[in-house]
Amino acid sequence: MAYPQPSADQYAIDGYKFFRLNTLLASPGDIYESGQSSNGICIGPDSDIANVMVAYFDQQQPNQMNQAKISPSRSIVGRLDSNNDGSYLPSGRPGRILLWSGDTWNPNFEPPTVSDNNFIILETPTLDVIEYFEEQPSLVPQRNDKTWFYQQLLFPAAVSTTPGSIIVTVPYYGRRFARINVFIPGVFESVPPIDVAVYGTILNLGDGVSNPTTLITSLTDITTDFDVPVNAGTIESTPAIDTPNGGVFDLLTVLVTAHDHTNQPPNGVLIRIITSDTPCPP
Amino acid sequence: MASNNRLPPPRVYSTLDRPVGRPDRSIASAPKPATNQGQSQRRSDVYTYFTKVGVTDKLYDGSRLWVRIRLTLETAGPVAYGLKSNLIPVLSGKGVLLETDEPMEIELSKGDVLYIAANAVSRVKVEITAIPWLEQISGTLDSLMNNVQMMATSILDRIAGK
Repeated sequence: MAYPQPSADQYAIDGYKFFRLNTLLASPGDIYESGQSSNGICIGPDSDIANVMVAYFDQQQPNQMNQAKISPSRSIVGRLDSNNDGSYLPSGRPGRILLWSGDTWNPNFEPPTVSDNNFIILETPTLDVIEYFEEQPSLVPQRNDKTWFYQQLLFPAAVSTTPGSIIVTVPYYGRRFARINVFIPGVFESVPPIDVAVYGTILNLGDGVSNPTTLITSLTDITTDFDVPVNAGTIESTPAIDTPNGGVFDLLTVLVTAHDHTNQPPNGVLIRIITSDTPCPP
Repeated sequence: MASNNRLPPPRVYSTLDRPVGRPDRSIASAPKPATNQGQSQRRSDVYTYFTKVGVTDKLYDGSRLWVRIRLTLETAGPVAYGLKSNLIPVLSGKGVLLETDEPMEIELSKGDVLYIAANAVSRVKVEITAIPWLEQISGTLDSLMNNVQMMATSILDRIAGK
């Protein structure tokens, strides 16, 4: 979370027609606020978080607060008052529109591994919400496809007989389709073999001490060796992950392991992961 | 001996060399031409007003003779305007709510003070324009009444032999 968070009031004073909250999550408990009333709230185009909770002042509710969830398939259209001169009970905090992630996020998530010799990347999800000041006839907030591109990831040096592994975990909240490319750059007489596995994880709230319960699912059969052609300078392996075959997950993990600890790709690998809300074309 | 009982020809009383009187404060009168720039009561005003949270603020002090005030809310508000000095709570109905991007007009005479209140920082376009024809009619009527009154006074004086 960016501190301090952007001020919705400053957007209004500067003559903007909307307030955009575009921030990385720091913790699953981040709560953001808007002091401006809204005529429409929707998911922003670059959001990794698919579900966002919106709380607003409603004096007919027990705690004078009502909540709604917005997602790429559902927005809120209509006026929500921020009610700055009111206060929420029992804390007495001044009235605001509150926003927080409706998806679970664990910054300490440990991906599935095959060894203790790993280079791990865990991408922090982005929360992107747009609050419109003007009336909107309708809001159809489709998210952009997201590309995670890693030009060169080097394998950790083999330890004894344990080869190095590269593990990349990216947010996959609400996505319906992913395409994964793994390249081995370089020219070889015999291309070093690698193993690639793809996992989906649904995060659950744990006891706060141990890691959340994870559901490890192998989305493809690519847990065995890749047979790589000899005559290729770069090799591409492209499994497609789609909802009917893989399901819906919070996080997507790509694990690349050198198959032979004595013959690890010297230039590492290039990994590209594309996630999309659009289901896989037939 | 014949006496000349003819009344003197009526004199035309010019308003250029005498200040325009206001014997009745309830009747609007045309203001004098401004001697300094920017002081005319016919001057218009256009600006953006940023509301304060939780207070009723004075938007227009009622100093001009006749004005038309146009308010346009640029954000979501809610913002209320009215003639009461306390419009809080904003949604109570004491004032009239502004709708986003919909101009609201109101015509006010001298002495009517316009207030505004909001419960969020909001941008409001404010356009205050004098209504010249209304001022002109009021001023002309006032001048006419003054002239008639003076002529009547003069006639009575002459009849009384003063």
